[in-house]
Amino acid sequence: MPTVRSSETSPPATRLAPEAIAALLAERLPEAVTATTVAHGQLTVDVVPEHLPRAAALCKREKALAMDFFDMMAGVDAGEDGFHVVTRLYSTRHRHAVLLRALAEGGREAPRLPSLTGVYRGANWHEREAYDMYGIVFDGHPGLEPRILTVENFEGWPLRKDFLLTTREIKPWPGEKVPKAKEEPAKADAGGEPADDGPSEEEKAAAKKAKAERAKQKAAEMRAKKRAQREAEAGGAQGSPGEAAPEAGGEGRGGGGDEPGKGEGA
Amino acid sequence: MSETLPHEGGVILPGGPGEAMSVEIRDGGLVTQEMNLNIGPQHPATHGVLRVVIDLDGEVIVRARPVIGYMHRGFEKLAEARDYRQIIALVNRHDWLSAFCNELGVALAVERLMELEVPERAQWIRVLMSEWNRILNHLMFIGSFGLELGAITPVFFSFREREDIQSFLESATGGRLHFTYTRVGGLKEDLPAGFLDASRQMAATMRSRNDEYRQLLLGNEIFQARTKGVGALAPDVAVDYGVTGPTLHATGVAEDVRLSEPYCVYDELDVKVPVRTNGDSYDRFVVLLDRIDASLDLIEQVHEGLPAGPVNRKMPKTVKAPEGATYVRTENPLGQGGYYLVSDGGKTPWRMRMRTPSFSNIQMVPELLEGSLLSDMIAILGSVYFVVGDVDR
Repeated sequence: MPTVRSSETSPPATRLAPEAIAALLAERLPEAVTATTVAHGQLTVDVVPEHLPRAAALCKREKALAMDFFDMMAGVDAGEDGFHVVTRLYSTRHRHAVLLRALAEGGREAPRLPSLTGVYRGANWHEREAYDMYGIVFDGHPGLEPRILTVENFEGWPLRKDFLLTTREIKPWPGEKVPKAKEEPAKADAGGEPADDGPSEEEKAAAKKAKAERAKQKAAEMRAKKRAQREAEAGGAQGSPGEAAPEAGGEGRGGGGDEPGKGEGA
Repeated sequence: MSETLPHEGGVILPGGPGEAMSVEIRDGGLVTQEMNLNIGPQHPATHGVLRVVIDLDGEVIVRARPVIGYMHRGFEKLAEARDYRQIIALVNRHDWLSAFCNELGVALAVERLMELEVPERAQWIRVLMSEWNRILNHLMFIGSFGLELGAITPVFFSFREREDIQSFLESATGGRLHFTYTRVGGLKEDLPAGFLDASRQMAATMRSRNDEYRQLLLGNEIFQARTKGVGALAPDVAVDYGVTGPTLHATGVAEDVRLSEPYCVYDELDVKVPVRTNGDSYDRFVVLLDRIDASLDLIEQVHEGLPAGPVNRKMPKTVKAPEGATYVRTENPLGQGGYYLVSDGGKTPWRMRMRTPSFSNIQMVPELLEGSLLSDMIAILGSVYFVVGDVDR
């Protein structure tokens, strides 16, 4: 059986540092690259939207880059500016990668970007998903409709920040503290009263105390009950029931846990 | 069909009793018509709710179009409304067969943004859990692939092993399927007493059992006839689509995150990636079996090298990732998982994109289906390992 071992493979010498990739892209496509940032060892290149396919094609075909692997594409809500589309390309030979970021033209109203399907076949579904989630239209895409993940007659673009998550609207947050609402970036803090993080500190402390008191009382009652029971049984097995009970409970739960979903198919 | 001869110059062939059927011959051949066939979303060969619409010319598939989204649950939207600890429980669920690997990816992404150092022991245990999760996943597919080809026995064997593995993983994690064992900054808790012994024992058992699977299936003539040369995938096509995992390794490309961008302590271990070259259903299956052995090697290395120490860091009460963006890759059982995390500095992510291996792998499936026989569809779909929840998220 042929295997590739990590002990035998080291990072290829042809692997380019993020800075080197940035320099190469900026040199070859000066009109396309607007900014390059390196964070956490990863290179993000901001690309002029109309030149996105050219930049991707360069990444794929340039020998020193050879980014043959289409990794993923992610839409990101950029607030008032509209939507970013981040595409990650990777080279299986040189093991380096780039994140190409383009801001869709047309703002929030009618975001558009040229399609990458002519460069990478893998871009097809990723662009359909970005269309489905953000309403970004990819020019030159073979068919964004029907919507890939949501139902056909679904209205709205679910991953936009102005699309409200309905469960959060109709159901109060179950925890004590509400995480800052971020569905509406434009008026982020306008609606949420910052002071209203649940009951005040004193109230909470009092509630906690009362709860502890109740629990104590209950425990005392239970102890008394148990003692009475044990005396009634006239002490044969005394220590064991307390230990055996959780064991049995654990097993019962374990037996019930089988495969959800997978079972449906097979 | 009681009306005969609708075409001029047609030839009458006998049909049923008292009936005749008409065919047209043009340019020295029979004139045929394409048939549209809808398979799924409830079809045993599709592992859940994947629908494939195909056009048939006789028995040959001319066009295939997978229709997905039946299990879309909006994880990415939900993740934007949950804090980082809750997300770990959330990402457990879309790919229910790779729960641990998924939660690990999210934890790694948050840790990278926060620039957290995770205790050494926690990292080793993460590798141990990832590899056991990989074996659990592969066992499932080994069983179900045999089942789809008509071999009932393997699934009983593989589920026997799955039960054993799950029961000791449960002792550490409390879960059998959705482990939720990772935390940002470490693990939920240390391994319980007796875990490592159980793990050692199971690793030894599993090794011998894996040979049993080989003997059970690989030599079988029917199995070979139905899988060899079926659904062959070319390496350049695979890479262009972003196919990863066993499906990619069967084509000869050894792209594995554990090799190319090691996370946790994979760089200290000797990771073996089994590779085959034909890219067909048979090779995909063999890679799966070989990967179990490779994972067992890693598990044994962890047993030997596991350091002592804490498994968790002291974390603030609220986990907040600083502003920024990062992309983390992990080698999940079905292929490369990717987590693109954009944070605005809050308790919840601004954007959490999950790149799932099944999504990219299924996108490639028409390339395999088109031009092959309808009867091979099951062997192809069954060997491009995917979980529908992982496709739809």
